[in-house]
Amino acid sequence: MSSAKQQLYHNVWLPFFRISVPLLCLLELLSYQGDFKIFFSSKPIIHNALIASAADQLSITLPEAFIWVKQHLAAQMSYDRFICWVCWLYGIALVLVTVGLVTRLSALLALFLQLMIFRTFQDIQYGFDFFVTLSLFYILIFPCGKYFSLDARWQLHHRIISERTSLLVLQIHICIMYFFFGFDKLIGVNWRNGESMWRVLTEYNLTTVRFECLADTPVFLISGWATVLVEMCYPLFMNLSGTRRFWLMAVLLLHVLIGLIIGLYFFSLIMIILNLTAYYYPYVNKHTAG
Amino acid sequence: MAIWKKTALALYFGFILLGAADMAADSYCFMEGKSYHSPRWAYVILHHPVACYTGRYTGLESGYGYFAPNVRSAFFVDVLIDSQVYRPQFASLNGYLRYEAAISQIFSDLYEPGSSKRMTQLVRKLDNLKLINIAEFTALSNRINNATHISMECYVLVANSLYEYRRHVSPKKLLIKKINFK
Repeated sequence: MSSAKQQLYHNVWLPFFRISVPLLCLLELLSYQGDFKIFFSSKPIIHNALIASAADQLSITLPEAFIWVKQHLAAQMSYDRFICWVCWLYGIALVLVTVGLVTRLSALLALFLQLMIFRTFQDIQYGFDFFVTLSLFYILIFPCGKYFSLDARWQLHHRIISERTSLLVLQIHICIMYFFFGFDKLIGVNWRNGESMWRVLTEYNLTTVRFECLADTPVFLISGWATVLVEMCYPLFMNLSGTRRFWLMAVLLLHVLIGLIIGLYFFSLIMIILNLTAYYYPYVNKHTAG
Repeated sequence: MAIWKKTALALYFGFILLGAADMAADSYCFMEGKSYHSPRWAYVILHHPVACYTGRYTGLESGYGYFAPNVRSAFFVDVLIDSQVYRPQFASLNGYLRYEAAISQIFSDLYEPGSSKRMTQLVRKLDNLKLINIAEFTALSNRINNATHISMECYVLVANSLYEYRRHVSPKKLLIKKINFK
C-alpha cells in the first residue's frame, strides 16, 4: 500500500467528519420546509426588534449584517432577500466544505454564517446548534482537507495541527462533554429515582408508543441510572480497547433512542457523527487490519 | 509537539472544564432555589472577553446540562380566540422543536423555582411582549385575521410523577400566565 493510501487508511475519520457534518447542516436547513420564514424573515414569530434587544455583541446578528449590507453594498435590498442570500451562501459554504475545496476558508465562512443565522434569535437555539458550531470549528482547525478532497488533489491544504493531535483534542473534548452530560444528571435527584426518565418517556415522547404500562416496573429507575452511567463512565470505557466497542454501541443506542422518542433527530445525528469520528473510524481499520 | 501548542491545549481544556463545572454548579443551585456566585477567579476567567468570544466561536458557551439536573415539565401555550383554543401551527418537526425551545426559555423565567431572583423587570416585560407575539402568530397561523379579542393562557403541564401515576392521581394543568389583549 502506498504511503498516501496508508495515511488515508489511518485517518479516514477526518474526511468522514468533514463530509458528514456539513451534509447534516444542509439537511437541517432543508428540513424547515415552510417554517423557515417563521423564525427568519422580516415578520418572524417574535418581532425582530425584540430579538435584537436580547442579542449580545459576541457575534454578528442578521439585522446587524443587513444594516451593513444596506449601507455598503446594496441599498435597495429587502431584509427577506438578504436572509435568502445568507442562506444560499451558507449552503454553498457547506457544499464547499463537503467537497473539500478551500476547506478552511469555507469552514470559517460556514461557521460565521451558522452563528449569524442560528444565534441571532437566541431563544430558539438548542443543543444541535452548539455542536454544529463546535464541529465547524474543529473542521476549521483540523487537517480535514488533507484527504479525499479537492484541496488534496490541487495541493491547497496547509496543516496547522497534526492528525494525531487533532484526534486527541477531539477525544478529550468528547470525554469531558460526556462526563458532564452524566454528572449534571447525577446531581439531580430525579435521574437517580427514575422520575426524569419517566418524564422523558411520557411527557416528551413524540411517538405513538406509550410507556405508562411500565409504571409498576423498575424500567425507569434502571434506564435512568444506565443513562447516567453510560455518559459519566464514557471517558474510561471508551479509552479501554476491551470495552470501547460495547460502550460505543451503548452510546449510539442512547442517541438513536433520543432521536426516535424525543424527536431530537438532528441533535442525535450530530452526536452520532462525533462519536463515530472520535471512537469508531480511528479504530475500525486497526481492528480489520488486526 | 511544540511547547506553545501544549500550553494552548492545556488552556483550552482547562477552559472547557472550568466552564462545564461552573455551569453544573449554577444549575445545581438553581434547582435547589439558591443563588450561585462563581468564585471570583473563575468569574474573571469565564467572563473575560477572550473567553466569551472563544465560547461563542467554538460552541462551548452552553455547558452540557441537557435534560439535567432534572427533566422539567412541558410548557405549552393555549391561545383563546373567541372562546376557542388554538395552538401555533408548524409545517415541520424542526420548526416545532425550535418553537418549543423558545417557549421553554421564556417560561422557565416565569415558572421555575429561583427564577424570580434572576428576573429583572425588563426581562419580564420582554417575555410578555414575546408571548403576545406568539399569540399573534398563533392567530395568523390558524388563519384567523378578524379576531377582536385574544386571550392567551400559558400553562405548564405538571404531569404525574411516577409515584402519583401509580396511585392514579390526575395530572395538573397549571396556569402560569394569562394575557388579554385586543
